[in-house]
Formats: sequence, C-alpha cells, structure tokens
Amino acid sequence: MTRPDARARVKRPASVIGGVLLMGVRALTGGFAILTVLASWDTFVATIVLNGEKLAQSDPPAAGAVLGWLLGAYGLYLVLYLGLAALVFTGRNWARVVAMSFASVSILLSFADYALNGAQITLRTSLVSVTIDILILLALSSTQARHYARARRAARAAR
Amino acid sequence: MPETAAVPSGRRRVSAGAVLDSFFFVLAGFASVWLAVLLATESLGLGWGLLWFAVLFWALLAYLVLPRLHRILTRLYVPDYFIGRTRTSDGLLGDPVNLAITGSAEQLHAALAAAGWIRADDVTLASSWRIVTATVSRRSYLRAPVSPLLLFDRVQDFAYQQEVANNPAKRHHVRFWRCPDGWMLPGGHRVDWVAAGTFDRAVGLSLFTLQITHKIDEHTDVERDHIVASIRQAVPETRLVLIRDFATGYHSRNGGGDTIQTDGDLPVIDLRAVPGEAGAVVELTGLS
Repeated sequence: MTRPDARARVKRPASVIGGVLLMGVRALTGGFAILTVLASWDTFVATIVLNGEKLAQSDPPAAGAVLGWLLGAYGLYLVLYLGLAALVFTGRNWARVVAMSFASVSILLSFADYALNGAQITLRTSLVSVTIDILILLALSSTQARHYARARRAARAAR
Repeated sequence: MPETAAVPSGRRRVSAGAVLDSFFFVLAGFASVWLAVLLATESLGLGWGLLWFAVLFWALLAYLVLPRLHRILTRLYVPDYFIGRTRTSDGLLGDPVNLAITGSAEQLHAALAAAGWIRADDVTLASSWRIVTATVSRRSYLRAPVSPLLLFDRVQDFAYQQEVANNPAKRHHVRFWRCPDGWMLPGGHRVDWVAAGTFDRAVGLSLFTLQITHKIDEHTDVERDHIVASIRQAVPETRLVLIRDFATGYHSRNGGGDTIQTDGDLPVIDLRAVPGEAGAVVELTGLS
C-alpha cells in the first residue's frame, strides 16, 4: 500500500520543467523557420541546387517538390521532438537520454565548426540556438533530473 | 576470445546507464564553460548592452557553470562518508555537524518549540521569492526557508531558526538529519539525530559559486552552545552528554567560503528524560 504514496512523492524537479520548456522553445523556433520559408516560398525554391545546376530553372515543379519534402521531413522531426519533450516531462529515462544525445550532437557540431572552421557564433548567427542546446543538456543531465527519471522508472516497475 | 573480457571483474559493477549519465554530466559542464566564453566574446561587441549582458553572464556562471564544475570535481575528491561536515548541493564541504540528539521526532519538535525555535518553510518557488523580497525590504519572515545541505546523501529532514532584530538576513538556524538505523557516531556513540547549527550574519556572495547566499558567523561554537542552552533552559530535564574533542579543533571554510572555527566538542542532547528530574551533564573526555 505504500507504493502509490511513494510514487506520488516523486516531485518533478525544476530542472526537468526548465529542460522541457527549452525543448519547446527549440521546436517553436523550428516552426518559425518553416513559416519563414512558406512565406517566401519562391525565393527559397530558387536556391535549390541539384547536380550543380539550379533546379528551379530546368524543372520548377520538381524544385517545389524537393523543398516540400524537406520542409515536411523537418516538420515531422519537430513534431516527434515535441513528443520526446512530453515523454521527458513524464519521466521516461530513455527519452531524456535521446534528448540529451540530440543536444550533444548539435553542440559538438557547432563546436567543431567554431574550433576547426573558425565559425563566428554570435547573436546574429547561432548563439541563441547553441545556448538553448547547452541549457537543455545542463538541465536534463542534472542530478535531480536523473533521480526523477530513475524514481519514475522504479515506480512504474513497482506497479 | 574477447568473451571472457565481458565478465565483470570488480565487485562494484557500473551500469551502462550510469556511465552514459556521467558522460552527459561532464559534457554539459564543458559545454557550459564554452557558452560562458561565447557570451564573454559576444559582450565585447556590445556597447550599451554590456551591463545587461554582465548580469546574464554572472547568472550563467554562478548558477549553471560553477556549480556543475564543482559537482564534477567534488564527486571525485570530497569524501562521501561521515567526516563531521555537511555538504552543499554542489558537493562542497558545508557547515560543520556540531550537535547530536537522542529522542523521538516528537520530543525534538516539542523541545525546540518550547525553546522559542521556529520551523523553517521548505524551499519552494513561493518561499524563495518571499525571502528575497523580505530581505530586500527588511521585512521580517519568521519561517524563512534555509538552503539545502546534505548529510547521509540527503537533504536535512527539517530546520529551525530564530530571527534576530526582525531582519531576515540575520538569524540563528539549525538543520537536523535523522541518522540511518544502526548508525553510530565515530567512537561508537549511538544517537538518533545529528544537527548543524550556524548563525547567519548577512547576505553576500558565495566565494566558490558567486551565488547570493547567507554568510555565516565564524564562531560556530557560540551558535552550538546557544542552541544547547536554549533547549536546556526550556526543558530543564534534558540530559546533556558533552563529548570533548569529538573532532580536533579546526579552522576551515564552509560551502559559501565563510571561515569557520570550532573546538571540536560535540554536545549530545538527550530528550528521553524523566519529567521533573533535572537533567545531568555528563562530560566524556578521551584518554590522556
């Protein structure tokens, strides 16, 4: 009879709430990027290059289709990412690990670009998204977030 | 064949999940340092925005970067067994354990209430905000929360305090931990609770993390003796066992970098007394 009490006592720490909020912000900025592309569709279609030539000049419908597919795939990724954030919120440990892996890969790629290619990371370029990734990683890797996910897992196993 | 290598050799097995967690924990530490560097670089290009950015930079450093670095390092080098010191949530050595109690939780709560001690609120967003506003406006907050300190790998069970001069920046306060079952103090003394009492004298910045925190008075023995005296005055039948030189006397720093000093004595307050009988004072000294 103590089990339900034990589960109820696992309080969601601020780091999990913060991490999930930041994941939401990340998905929102992605959605905003999709809207930007949709708003100036023709400009973006004109930039698609396949085999060294501009696809919009030789085959305009194909160029539109490529851009549509790209946007669709990115949109799907964002939806899945939001789902992942929801699972982190409910205390799934694997979701936390996957979210941390995404953030790590993104951070490491940015860092490689910065260290090897001398990429400028400023407010005008990618500072905000790098900051969000690092904050997500910090929040979800914290001891409280780890304990929370472990406690929820133990509570689920006990059910 | 490499199959034999997969057999765990040591007695302590480390799970893959724990290794992965440690990896992300340390990677996040390095990433946060890089972020601090990026923000510092960015701020160089700002004119009027510099002040705003400096505050952001300090917040990042004090509340994310430095705590994470301390956690990574203290996990490696700060002992995790009882050495008479509490630890902060960042793993740093905190206030000294300078009091022990035998008795039930009810007896302890009753004795503290009788001695004019007020139980501190738990740390929540609301109570944290209230202590900030109360300190800034110098309004009294008798049940102000105390920061978490860890002993036996967990936060204190509860804390009591006495505000001084209606100022939330100054207060007597003492944190209590229930000892694990069967646990004994070094030397083999069995007690039910251990406690760490210190006097908050002002609000300032932590030396190690730059966070805003209470600065404590250096003379922790004065606070220890104040707690004992207040309880013995309110509950005269309290028995007192004074373990002389429980620890060597020392000068050190607590988790916020404040200097502390103690003579190393440990009073054990025995609350299981017979009502009506004046409590004795027993002094335990070592061989010499």
